[in-house]
Amino acid sequence: MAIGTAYWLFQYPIFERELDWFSSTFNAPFVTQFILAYTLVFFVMAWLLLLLSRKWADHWLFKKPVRNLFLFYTGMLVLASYAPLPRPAWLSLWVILIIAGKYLWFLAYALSNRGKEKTPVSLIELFHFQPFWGSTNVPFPKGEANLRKIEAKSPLDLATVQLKGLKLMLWSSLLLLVFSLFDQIVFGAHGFIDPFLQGLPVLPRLNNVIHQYLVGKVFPRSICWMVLVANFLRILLDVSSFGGTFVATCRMCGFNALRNTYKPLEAKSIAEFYNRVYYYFKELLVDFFFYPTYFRFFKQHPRLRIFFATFAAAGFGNALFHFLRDITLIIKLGLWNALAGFQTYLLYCVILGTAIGVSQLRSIGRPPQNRGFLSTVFVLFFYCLIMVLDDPLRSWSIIDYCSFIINLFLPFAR
Amino acid sequence: MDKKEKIRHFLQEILTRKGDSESFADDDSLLLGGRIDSLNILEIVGFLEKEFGYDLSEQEFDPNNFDSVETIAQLIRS
Repeated sequence: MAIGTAYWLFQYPIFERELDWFSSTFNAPFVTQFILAYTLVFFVMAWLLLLLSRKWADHWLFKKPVRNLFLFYTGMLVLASYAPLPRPAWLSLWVILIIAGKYLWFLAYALSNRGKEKTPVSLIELFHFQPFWGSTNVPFPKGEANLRKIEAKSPLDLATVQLKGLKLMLWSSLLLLVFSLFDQIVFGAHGFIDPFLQGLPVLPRLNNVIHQYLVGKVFPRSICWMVLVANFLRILLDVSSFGGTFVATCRMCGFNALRNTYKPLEAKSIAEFYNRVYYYFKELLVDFFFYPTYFRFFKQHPRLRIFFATFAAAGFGNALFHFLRDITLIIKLGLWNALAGFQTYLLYCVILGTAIGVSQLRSIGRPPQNRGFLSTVFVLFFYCLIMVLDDPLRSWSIIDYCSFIINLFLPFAR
Repeated sequence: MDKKEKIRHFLQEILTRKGDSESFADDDSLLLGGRIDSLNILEIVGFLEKEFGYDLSEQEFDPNNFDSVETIAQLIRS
């Protein structure tokens, strides 16, 4: 595992794209030259932090280590954004923040485990920060402590898990192929079947449709709806294929990880779909936002307690995760403008958090099989529509997006 | 019914409601095995609070303590 991680860290660090962008934007070639040195600085800092959190577990700093980690990271973002630092210090601080941002949730899992582990900090904990089976900013499959729990315990377990891994790898590879074909045929993306598709009509991307709408060149409503559905299917195929590949490789290494995406089109409620589509992101929100809120607030009001905890996770946690994830936008736009540009995504989180909260309350004590086909259609319709607000560019206002959505429904709108 | 029996009965109820009729042993991993999820854990927490007056807010919460009948029974014994 250590060798695999070292190889991936050296060859394909998950922060490479952001650092390349940073280096060229600010004309700082030394960033890419010293990438390994910066990475080592971060890993030494992370190791020291884990060491101190175990040694001084009762110190006020480490009583709530995850909360303090995020407060510290946010403080550093403010410092890097507004403090008049000399250029080399300013550049270095941003580089460390970019690298730390990629591993933030890995560190959070490692810190949250510090009270439960009596063993000293092992290097394996750090190696898990970039598992060689792949990951996004979301740790697959959760933290290193979880990895030890799901490790195959006997040769029979190992064989079973590896076979499950192989099966999932075949399925994920098939999905990857379908995703690639879908992207090429439906959206005209470049790829290996280009020569056969010359001259065939393709759909525009959702961002393009919204942009055209805002400059007054409205696509026919039927095209808009087709784009919405195709965009939703594309995202679903993308998440299923990359998540499946990570989990399959992890299984082939002997860890019985649960699937990331599991039959999302069979979901009968909004909450169930969220649970089925990107399991490890949902688990991250549950572990760091849902449970802590649930145990802290509204103990005397069971339904409000569940709703509030769900909203804290799917609304607030989701917003925080994505705001910190898109650190290049913070650098590009400035902290304040990045926050202002986040308004549409914030609305997305509020709607999603509320919808999942209500859906959770409705599903308590109710057998899922009692809900019919129409429930599935409603769930898919909801997610198709809400994805309009899942704005990656932070370029338009809430009013622009809402006006586009209204236009989808009103026959007399432009 | 002893505590462990009550826990087992409650878990059985949750699984049946989810359409999962497969039997399970006391040490079978239900959470790590994907048979129960976070919402089910909250149901179990609610059950433990109501049935045994157990207060989980005072200690560090670890969902893995709700992985099997055995771990839940251990939790309320501790």
